[in-house]
Amino acid sequence: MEDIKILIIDDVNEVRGLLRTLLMNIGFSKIEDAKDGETAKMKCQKNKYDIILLDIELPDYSGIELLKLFIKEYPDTAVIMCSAHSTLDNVKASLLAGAKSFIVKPFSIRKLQNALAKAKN
Amino acid sequence: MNDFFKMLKIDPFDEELENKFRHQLSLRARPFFSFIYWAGGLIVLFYFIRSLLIDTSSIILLSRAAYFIFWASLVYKTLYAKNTISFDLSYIIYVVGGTLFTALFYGILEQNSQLLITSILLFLIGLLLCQLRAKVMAWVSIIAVVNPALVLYFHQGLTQEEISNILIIGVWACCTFIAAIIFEGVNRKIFSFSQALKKSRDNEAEANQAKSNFLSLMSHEIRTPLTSIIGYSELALSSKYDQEVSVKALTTIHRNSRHLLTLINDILDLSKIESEKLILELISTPVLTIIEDAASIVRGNAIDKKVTFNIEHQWPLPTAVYADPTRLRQVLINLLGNAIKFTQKGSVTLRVSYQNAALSFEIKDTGIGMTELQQANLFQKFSQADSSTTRNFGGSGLGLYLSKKIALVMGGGIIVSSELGIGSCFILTVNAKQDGIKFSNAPPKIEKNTYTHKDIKQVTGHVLLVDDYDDNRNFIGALLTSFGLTVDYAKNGEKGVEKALHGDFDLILMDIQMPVMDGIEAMKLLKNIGCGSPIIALTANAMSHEIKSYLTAGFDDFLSKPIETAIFYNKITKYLATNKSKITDKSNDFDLTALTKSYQNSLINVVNKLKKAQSNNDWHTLEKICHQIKGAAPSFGFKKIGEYATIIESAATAKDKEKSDKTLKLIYQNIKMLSE
Repeated sequence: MEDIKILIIDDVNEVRGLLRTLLMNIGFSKIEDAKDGETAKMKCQKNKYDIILLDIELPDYSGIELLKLFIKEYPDTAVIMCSAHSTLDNVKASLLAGAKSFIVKPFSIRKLQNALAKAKN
Repeated sequence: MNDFFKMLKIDPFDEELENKFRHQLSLRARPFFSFIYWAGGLIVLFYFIRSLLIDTSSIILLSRAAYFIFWASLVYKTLYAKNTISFDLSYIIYVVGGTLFTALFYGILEQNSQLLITSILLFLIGLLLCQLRAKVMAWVSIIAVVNPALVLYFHQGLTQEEISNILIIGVWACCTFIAAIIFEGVNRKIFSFSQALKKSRDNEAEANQAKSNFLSLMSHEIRTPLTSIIGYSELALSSKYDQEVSVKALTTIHRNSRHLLTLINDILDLSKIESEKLILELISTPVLTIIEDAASIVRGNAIDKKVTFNIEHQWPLPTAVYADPTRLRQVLINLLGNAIKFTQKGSVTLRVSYQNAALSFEIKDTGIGMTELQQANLFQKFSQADSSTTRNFGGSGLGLYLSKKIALVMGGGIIVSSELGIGSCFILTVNAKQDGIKFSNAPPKIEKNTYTHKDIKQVTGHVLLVDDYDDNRNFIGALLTSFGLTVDYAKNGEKGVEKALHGDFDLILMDIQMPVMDGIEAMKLLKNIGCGSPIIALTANAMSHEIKSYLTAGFDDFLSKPIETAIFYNKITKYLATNKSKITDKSNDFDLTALTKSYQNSLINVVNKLKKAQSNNDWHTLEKICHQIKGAAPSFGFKKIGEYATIIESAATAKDKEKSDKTLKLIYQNIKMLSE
């Protein structure tokens, strides 16, 4: 768990903070965040992340678009989609595009743990 | 050429089929015969009368009279015989006909060549007859070829015309002979085809008949308990809470429902046995425990009927044998249940013994007993001692049939002895030949494993129940609630997945067959997105291969419908316990105060943005901001704000000014309260 690098991508500052707190609490220490797609892309170019937590709606990018890009560029990185929407179209599109998991906001720590477990496998 | 000879080579059928074939041919040939007989007979009659007029003392007169009588009798036989003419008779006809032909042939040569037409007709008779019996064909061939040759050889000095007549007849005979063989071949082919067709039709009709019988029997067996269920439920509904009537009605409904369930289970077993798919799971089975299990189930009935029920162990007995525990229990329950069912007073005794590497269970009762005839039909499908038994005692008529089959598969059997009015004795034997068998001299201590509602301990947890059938959903929901669980409901797989995504469930119960999205697809989707909750298939498809396919598909477990409370409770609590211990809830272990405070401030700031968007009717911004709030606010404990944001988001999507204004007012109030 120590070595796993995680990138949080969400436009709401507090959600990023919350996710960071939750992840640290679970036991992860190498956590970074990005407030939009462009920042995330830049960070990904510099660092190799094991897991990306990606919000489906960002100011500059659609989450699915970004997901496809990450899967293509960094096939070893597991992407967990986060959304406030639970419409099955989004879920199915994310899985089809290669997302490892899909969690709906607000989520419990248990759900996050399950999603991370699935992503790590 | 080869084909031609192949056609000439005729393979006879077996004896029975050959007779059928000949019979059919003779029936077909009958109109020809009658025509030829009549025509031939008239010609003979004509010459008879003519010879009478010319010379009454002539020898020709006598021979023609004899021929005439012969023809007349043939005509009579052909027209008035009940069946068609027999094969032997046709043989005689041919031989005599052949002689007649020879005689007439000489007539042609020596007296009158006009008789040619008669001889041809007679010859045709012979050829047609050869269709009736293969043996005759050899004679035909000899006579057809050899006879003209002999005539030519012995009658030197014939005229050119006479020789050509003989040759024409010879060629004619040979052609007809070949034609007869070809027809024979064709007829055989048509016959075997029609036989095959008839056979397949018969088989189909037989299968249809068996299916109809089975369906009508099933319909009867299912309708009978249903009559009580429907009748009593209507009575209970109309009795306006009369406690006594309601209890009686519910007891009857319950009993009949259980009977229906037994019937359906028996039919499933029957289908397995019929398709030879009954596979026993041979494991080390604690026999004595199984006996106690079976006894505990039937003992209640014995007590109700005031029938004494005893178990006699002939020690020592093996502690465990390799057998299928479920099936062994099923057979014992069936035999003991029958014994108690058919015993009105007296006793039922189960004697267990071990000898010659076989376990023997002797079930003796002092019941109504059976006649020998009844005993003979006892182990047949759907046959109880007689049909009145079904009315008086109930039962599908499958129990003993299945029990015997199962006993046979377990390397044993069931034998019966009985006397009408005295009682019956069934002996079930099970193969117990194995190494290292251990013996015991005392019954084991049996743990109580029957449940009543009072035994159920309250549990906590959040369960999602996905089922499209309202009544089942309500019932199972009520049952889960009675265990102390919180239940969320979904009507189909799609709604189930959405609920599971939003909520946090300790357990998901998923029906299989549902509209929109079925249980398997929903389960797979949930597993794919990393849903950690155990998902149990809730299914009325209880066949073992179906259950196996659900588990292979990814379900954590299965529960079959109808629900057996004890099994249901055990399985639910098992998953709740493991799930709880596996994932510890650490949500309270860390401090979110600073983050919450920060988010609270950002909410206060967002009010201005919302107000601006509201006044400008900027639906897009409104939707976007509310979507963010919807996702984030509940995470920091502002659930109400999250709910309002959800409403506003959908109102903004629908551009519903009234609804959004109304809810915005509420959200402003809530956020304002935060800042105070």
